[in-house]
This record gives sequence, structure tokens and C-alpha cells, in this order.
Amino acid sequence: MRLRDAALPISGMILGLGVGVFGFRNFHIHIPPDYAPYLSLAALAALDTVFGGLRAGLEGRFQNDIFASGFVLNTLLASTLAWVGDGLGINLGLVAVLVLGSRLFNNLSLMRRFYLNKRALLKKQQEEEAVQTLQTSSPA
Amino acid sequence: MTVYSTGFHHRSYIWQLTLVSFVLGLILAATIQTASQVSRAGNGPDREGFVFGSGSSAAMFTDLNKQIHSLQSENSHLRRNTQKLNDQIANRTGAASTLNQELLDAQEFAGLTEVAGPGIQVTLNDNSGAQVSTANPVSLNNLVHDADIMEVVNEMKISGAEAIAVNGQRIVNSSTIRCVGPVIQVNGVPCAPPYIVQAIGEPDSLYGGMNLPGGILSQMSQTSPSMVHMVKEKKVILPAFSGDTQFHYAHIVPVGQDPLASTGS
Repeated sequence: MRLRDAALPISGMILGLGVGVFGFRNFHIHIPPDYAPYLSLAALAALDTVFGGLRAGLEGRFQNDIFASGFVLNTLLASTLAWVGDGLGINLGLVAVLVLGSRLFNNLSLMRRFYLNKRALLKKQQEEEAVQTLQTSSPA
Repeated sequence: MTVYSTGFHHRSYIWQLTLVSFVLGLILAATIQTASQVSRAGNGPDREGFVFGSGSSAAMFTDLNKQIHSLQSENSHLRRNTQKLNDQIANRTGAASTLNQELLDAQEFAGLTEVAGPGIQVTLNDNSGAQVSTANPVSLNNLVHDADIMEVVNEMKISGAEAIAVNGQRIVNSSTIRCVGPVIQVNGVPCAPPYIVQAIGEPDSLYGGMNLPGGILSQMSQTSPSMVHMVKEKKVILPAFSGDTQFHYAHIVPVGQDPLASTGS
């Protein structure tokens, strides 16, 4: 995956943001303020899914079903945990924040390693080729 | 070359990522919108369940307090206007003049007008040097309590006070003095020590009445003389009552009518 491929998901997110802000304002859709904590958890879960998907795509292990089910279930679980925690009087939403947050960092670091490794390999290859051409072209 | 095969020929996952990113954008927009709504309304969900710990509740409290103050000043302004109009009408006709005088008397009695006259001023203060702890009930005598102020007001009335105000709050028919945590509210307005109780009346009899042995002031002086300070004043100015004066349930029974017959209507 080249870096410009990342432009599509990013523009998708910006489009969604724009449509959301515009839509919520113009069609007077109001989400009750009590749901704000659950909503932010859902956003975090969605962000985690995007990063997870990017990483899986990079590693060539992307699978449609895992991606889609993970998105839906993670989002639901995070929000449900927070809701149940509110009922129990424990801030269970923190669990979701902690796990999803650490996974975000984890995925980002793996993606970073992937690109850096690739660059190092490429450099090594070029050096080897250069040495080879030097050896073949120079008179023995 | 490595376990990562970058040359992935079908890039359908990019489109799926885009779709999920779009949904993420929608959720973010909803979150932003809700958050701005919460901050605007100032009553976000109190997840800690602690009213004064949450910034939004505190902001709402100050907002409401500001509203109360502006409404009170508007109220007194309107009352002054009414009085001015009444005066103008009274200047034209004799009957209206009598009526206006009666109205003024009633307003004065009800505490709806600013009044001035000779009187006394009692300053109550906490005993600053003393240790106060809830473990020792006697030590709580070192604080000025709502009951102390109520007793002072009551004794002033007994001693012939015609008008009384506590920290600039006029004491009227509907006045309340109560303890809310560390502060005392007079007419619902929070007050802090020193509490200045002013009264208009004959200064000498007021002074003597308040100084009677066994009275509230002598009791407080026994705890510490520094808690009570009383002076006679040549001129005391008391503000008008600025609270609600509307009755919603009580109705005037017309003269000569059986009060029982009119109830329940």
C-alpha cells in the first residue's frame, strides 16, 4: 500500500464529518446529551477499526468479514460497557478507552515499523545492486 | 521478499476502510454536536454525581445568580416607576392623593419602599480566634448561626423596630433566614460574616431592648465579646424588598363576606 492510498479513507472521514455536521444542523437531529459519553466511545472504537484495517491491509491479512464484524461488535461493546458501568456505578467505559487507545498506539507503531523496514530493505537492495554492477563493469 | 506482501492486487479493503472512515466521521460529527450542545446548555451529565465539582453546574449556578440579580434590579426599577406614576396621578386629584397616601403606607409597612430613620446597627461575627470542630458541640457556639440572626431580628421587632435589614436584605413578611452549608441565606441571597443587622426605631429603646440580660446578644457576648458589636445610628437607610411579592394561592376576602363561603372557589 502506498501512502496515497491512505488519502481515500482520510477524505472519507472528512466527508463524513462534513455530512454529519451539515446534516445534524440542518435537519435538527438532536442526540440527547446523556448519550455523549457513549457516542465518544463509539467514535474511539471506529477509529480503532480503521487503524486495525489499515494495518491488516499493510500486512496483506485483510479479511472483509473480520473487519466488518469487528467494527460493529467493538463499537457496540464499548458503548454497552459504558452503559452497564453507569448502571453499576463503575466507570467501565475506561476499560474500553484503555484497550482501544493502547491498540491504536500498537497499530500505529506496527505500521511505522512496516514502512521503515521497507525503506531499509530497499536501500540495502540498491546498495547490493550497485556493488554488483560495479563488480561486473570493472575489468577483472 | 518479506512476509508482508505489499503488492496486493485487489484493493477492495481501501474502499471498506473509506466506508468505515465515513461512518467514523459521522459519529465524530454527532459527538462534536452533542458536546457543543452540552456546553451551551451547561447541564451535562454529572457522571461524578457531585454538583459543585462539575464545571458546567457551577457555570449554570453563576448564570442563574446573574439572572436573579438583573431581575431584582429590574423589579426595583419598575416599582420606582409605579410610585412615580402614582405620585403624578395623586397630584391631580384629591381622592387619588388620599388613595396614594394609603398605598404608600401599605407599601412602607410591607417593606416595599426604601426607608430611612434613626436606629441601631448590630454586627455579628464569628469568634475568629476559636477552634471550631463538629466533634465538640460547644465549640460551634463560636460561629454565628441562622438561629442567632433570627433571634436578633425577633428581639429587634419586640424592642420596637419598624424596619429591619440583614446584610442589605430587607426583612419582610415572606423573609427567610436559613443555613445552607457554610453560608446563611437571607431571602435566598447568600450572606457571609460579618452579619450586619440594621433596624429603624427609637434608638434608645432598641439599644436597651437588645441589651436585656438573657437576650441573644448577651448570650453571644458570653461566648466571646468580640462576636457582638452594637451601635446607635442617627440615620439608617434600609433598601426595599426586591423579591417576589405575588400571591398565587391566598386571595383577599371581601369585607363583610363569610370567609368560609369564599374558600374553595
